[in-house]
Formats: sequence, structure tokens, C-alpha cells
Amino acid sequence: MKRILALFFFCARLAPLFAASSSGDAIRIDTEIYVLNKAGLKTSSAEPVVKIMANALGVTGSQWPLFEAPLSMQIGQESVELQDSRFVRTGTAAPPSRLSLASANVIIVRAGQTAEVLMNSPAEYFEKMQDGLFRLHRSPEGSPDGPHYDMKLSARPNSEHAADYEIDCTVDAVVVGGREKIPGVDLDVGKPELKAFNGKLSFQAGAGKWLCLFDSVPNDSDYQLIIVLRARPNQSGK
Amino acid sequence: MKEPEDLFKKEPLARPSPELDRRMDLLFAAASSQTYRAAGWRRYLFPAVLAAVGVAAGVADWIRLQSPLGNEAAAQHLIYRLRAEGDMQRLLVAPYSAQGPAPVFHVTVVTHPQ
Repeated sequence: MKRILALFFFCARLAPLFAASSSGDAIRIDTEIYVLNKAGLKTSSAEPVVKIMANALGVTGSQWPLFEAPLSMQIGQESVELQDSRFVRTGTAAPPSRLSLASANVIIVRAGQTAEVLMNSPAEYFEKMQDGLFRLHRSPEGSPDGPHYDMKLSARPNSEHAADYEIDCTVDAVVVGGREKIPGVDLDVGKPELKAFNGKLSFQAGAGKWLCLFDSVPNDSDYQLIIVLRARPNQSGK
Repeated sequence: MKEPEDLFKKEPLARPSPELDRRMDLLFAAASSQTYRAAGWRRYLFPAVLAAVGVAAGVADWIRLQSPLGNEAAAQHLIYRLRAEGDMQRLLVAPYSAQGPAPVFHVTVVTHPQ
């Protein structure tokens, strides 16, 4: 009788064990998105705005620069380092003046599953009414047609090197590219003219290694997105 | 009043009976062997059914997780929704400065000394 009971309890534990073996393929992607404020940076003919010292990783099919940490950057007059996932001013623990953290996500996916980081912001504008009054409009919160930055990530183990991951990153962004002029108003508060950008990047990442990706969407704006990420096997509680 | 007592006194006293003992022994022996034979497999029936159900549940769950349909259900699209704030909001809503185009991001790569 005791043997049968032991067998039963063993069998009852099989389901979670099978489930655990399946979720053993889960991949944890730590993602941090920084915004670099380039406004006001002066370009001299000799020096680039941002100079990067790092190991560049070869990426095909994309113009997005991809680097492996550690990484040093010269942003204007400021020297910045990437320590693990955090940017600091060189030689200090202080955050850089022109870099701000927009989001930090721990994404846990199965191999091939897609996760999406979607950031959006409502856009406001004025409209001149027939009676001469101005009416404030606001695009709906979270509207897919409004300004947004949408990054889709998926990862799967490399078939040749078990310690590496193949990561697909797709970015779709819509920003306010300009505003309609309101007759008789100098302020730039008219209806937004939206500008869409998208890009796709596939690259290989060593398990647990921080990578730094410079998203060139949109390239000519005052801001530059920097994505810092690493992929590794998901271990619960860590 | 003494009638029941008298009746008891008139009853014959119980005496050992070898014939009765033999019959009782036979009866108990037969009952015992019947019960034992029946329990031989029936007493394992319930735990065996429970164990079978446990195994079936485990196998079914495993098949569900391995099958494309199960993976599709498990691999649902994950969305992390955030409201853009600070510079991220400005990137979305006012990415271009009024003073004209910002300097184009230009990267010079220098291999890091290892």
C-alpha cells in the first residue's frame, strides 16, 4: 500500500516536472532603453558629436550600430561609460547629464516568443473654431495611431552555439514630425503631422553579455535611443 | 416475581460442544479466506486508479506543452505598455528642435583595448 501511495505521489508530481522541463527553455531578456538628448550639441568639422570606444559587432541587414559592453562614449565634452547596464560619467557613479533611462524591463519569453515594449504619449494640439476660439485636442491615450515607440523582441537559442542567442529586434516608431500652421498663430501648436519609422535587426548575443544598440529611429531628431540588453536562460528567483 | 429466575434455572447449562466448535472453525476459516481473496486485488484498485489518473494528467499536460497548439497558447504575445515621460515623451511629441535640425548622430568606432 505504501508503495502504491508513493507511486501516486510521484505521478502527481510529474505534471509540474514536465511543465518545468518545458519552461526550462524560457529566456530572460533584460532591456533598458535610454534616451540621449543631442539638443544643443555642436558639431565641429573635426569631431563627431558622439564618439564610441567599444567592440563593434558585425550585423548584417541593418545600419544600427551594435556594440558589446564595456563601452566608452564621448558625448560632446562629457565622457561616459557603460558599466553592465548603467551609463555613468567616467570615473564617477553619477549619471550622465544627457542620458536618461526611459524604461527598464525584465522580459521572460519562450524561445521564439515575441515580447513588445510599447511606449506612447498623447499628442495635444489646438484647432481654431469657426467662432475664433481655440479648442484643445488630445489624441487618445495609448492610441496606436498616435506617437509611440514600439520595440518587439524575440530570442531563441543558437542552433550551433548553445550559449548564444539569436535575437530579432523590430522597431516601429511614430513621432510628431511637424505641425500644421494655424492661420494667424505663430506658435507651433497645430495638428501634428506624424512621421513613421521602422527598422529590423537580427543579431547574435552571448548568454549574459550586455549589448548596446543605437537605434537610428529617428536619426535627425534631437534625441537618440540607446538600447542596452542581455539575454540569458531564465532562472527563477534570479 | 420469581418466575423468570425459575425459568433460567430450568434452562440447561451451556457445555463445551466439540461439534459446535468444529462448525464455527469451519465458518470462520471460510469467511477469512474469502475476504482475503477479495481484498487481494480490490484493495489496490483505488490507489491504482489514482496513480493512473495522475500519470494520465501528467502525460496529457506534457503533450499539450509539446504540441504546436499548446505552444501557441503558451507563447502568447507579451506587451509591456508604458507611458513615455521626460525625454522619451519629447522624442515622440517634439523630437525636432525649433532652432533647426539637430546634429546628425555620427559614430566613430574605436576598438576597445581588451
